[in-house]
Amino acid sequence: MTHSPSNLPPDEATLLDYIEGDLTPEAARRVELSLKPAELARMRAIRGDAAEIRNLGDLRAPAGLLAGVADALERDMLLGVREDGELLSDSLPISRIETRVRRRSFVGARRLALAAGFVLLVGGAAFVGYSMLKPPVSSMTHSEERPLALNSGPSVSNPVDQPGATGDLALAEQGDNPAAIESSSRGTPSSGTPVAQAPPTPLTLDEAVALLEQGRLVIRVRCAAPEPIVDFLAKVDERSADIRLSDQVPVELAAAVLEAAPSRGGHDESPAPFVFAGDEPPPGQIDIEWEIPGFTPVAFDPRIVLLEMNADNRTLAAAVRRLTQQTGHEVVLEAVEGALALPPARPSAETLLWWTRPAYEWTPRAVVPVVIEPLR
Amino acid sequence: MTTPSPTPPSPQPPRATKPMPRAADPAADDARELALVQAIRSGDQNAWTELLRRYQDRLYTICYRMVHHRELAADLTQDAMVKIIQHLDTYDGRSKLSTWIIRITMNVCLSRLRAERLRRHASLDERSGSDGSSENSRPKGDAAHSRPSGGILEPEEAESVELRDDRARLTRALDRISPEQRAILILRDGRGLDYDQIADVLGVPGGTVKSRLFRARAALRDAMENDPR
Repeated sequence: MTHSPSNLPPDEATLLDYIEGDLTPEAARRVELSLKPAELARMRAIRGDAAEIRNLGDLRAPAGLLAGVADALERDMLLGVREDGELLSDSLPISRIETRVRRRSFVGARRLALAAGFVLLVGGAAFVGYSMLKPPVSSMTHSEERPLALNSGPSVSNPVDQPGATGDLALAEQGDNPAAIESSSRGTPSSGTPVAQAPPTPLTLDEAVALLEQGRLVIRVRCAAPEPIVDFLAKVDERSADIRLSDQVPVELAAAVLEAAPSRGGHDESPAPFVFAGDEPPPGQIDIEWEIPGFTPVAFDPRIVLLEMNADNRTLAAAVRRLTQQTGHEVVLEAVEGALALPPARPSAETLLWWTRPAYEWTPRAVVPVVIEPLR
Repeated sequence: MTTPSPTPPSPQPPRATKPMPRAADPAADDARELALVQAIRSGDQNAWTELLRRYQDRLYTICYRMVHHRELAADLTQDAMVKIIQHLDTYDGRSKLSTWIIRITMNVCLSRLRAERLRRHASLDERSGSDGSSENSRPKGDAAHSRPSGGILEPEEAESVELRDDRARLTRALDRISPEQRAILILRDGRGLDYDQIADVLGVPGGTVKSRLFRARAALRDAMENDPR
């Protein structure tokens, strides 16, 4: 109980003793006399603060506190570590927590398991939904829902068969719009050929892909000369991983393809009537000024090349679009009635390692004959 | 030391009225706790919960006074209890069990506060404002305060006490001083520990405790006087 003489200011320890009440009444009186009034008031206020803190008292702990402790202990027990990262000793008395507390912890664990299950359910549903709804990532996606135009027989949408059609220019314009790609289910009669006899019906891109997988699809490219088409397909073969030129066409296959589709282009048919500028386009036809002075369709023997491609909408639409845009000629998708004896697609790294990719990214490869035939 | 205190002088608090008496006979209380420790070590399944129940209000109060946030205080109390259970085999009996338990709890609180010191400004604003989790806005039916004698109040009774302006000022001022200063005040005034016990809890020499306590009291007074209300 040290304190200063009354004529000297008390030191810090004495002041603390005064505040804490550790001084005798006489010593406390001496301290009070040695302090200035403001200092004395402050000391008394500090004593009041201490009393206020003492009066705060205890709080009641929230319910479930011990259950939370039991949960944490169980978790650490399962992990085998303490909260400070040290390994738990074998003598951790987790089993010594009374049964009631353990039951509470079980309820907590069950809630946690339910929450985890719900998260897994939502996550799984989101993944499945994403997988199913993932678009083929192509500008052609919208065309899948729209039936493609007919081109069999006189039709306003067939620029070749229709008087006043704008022919290849019309297709070149349509090349930017995949929905305008023309396809057909041809019913052209030919003896001994498995050509579909049903009336022409619109082929959707989905149907064309299905036919591609079945080996019943033929792509017809009508042009003035076959070499640019072949050269272009060779370039596609070099640059594209999805579309490749296949090996040489077997003679039997070529014959079957040519028989399946009627021969056209100056052999036994008269050239298609081309209409030049000044003629009235048919209703619904794109009114584009069309003038090719001295244009004369050149007849040549049809050629057949085999294209290997992924049997999906994106690749088929891209192939047709490229043929249309690059060559400016008419491209027709045609269905044949019977499956053609097409060679299998050549194996590639992509096809061999299909299992390494997500299911939605993998599509089977298919072969489709491309008939390059002269304009009519 | 020149600013007159706005608080009227209060009578010298007698040291005999140390707060938080847990039992009529502290010696019996300590003996019972030591018996619980022995029971725990011998595999008594009921001893753990009894020991934790005896301390849960005290530990939660310490945590709440340190952080002034209910949920965080509950988390810290649980963390402290887990550490107590996991490290009880290291208790050697040289200090009182209560001191050892409070040391662990205070270390948990100080560690958390030091880790969050960078974010402290935002926390202070929140706590000094109308924090829904703070003591002053505690809803009815939640944890209650104790009466001056240290007993636990019921919610309705506690609320009328809590709304007193002086207590609100005090809690705001406690928030404004450093965690270390707050800790020593809580240990001294809130838990009634003597200097040696405080030194044991804080891990500092006994002489250091007195100087720190004096500075903490002065800092609290400054915070009270500078309270913007």
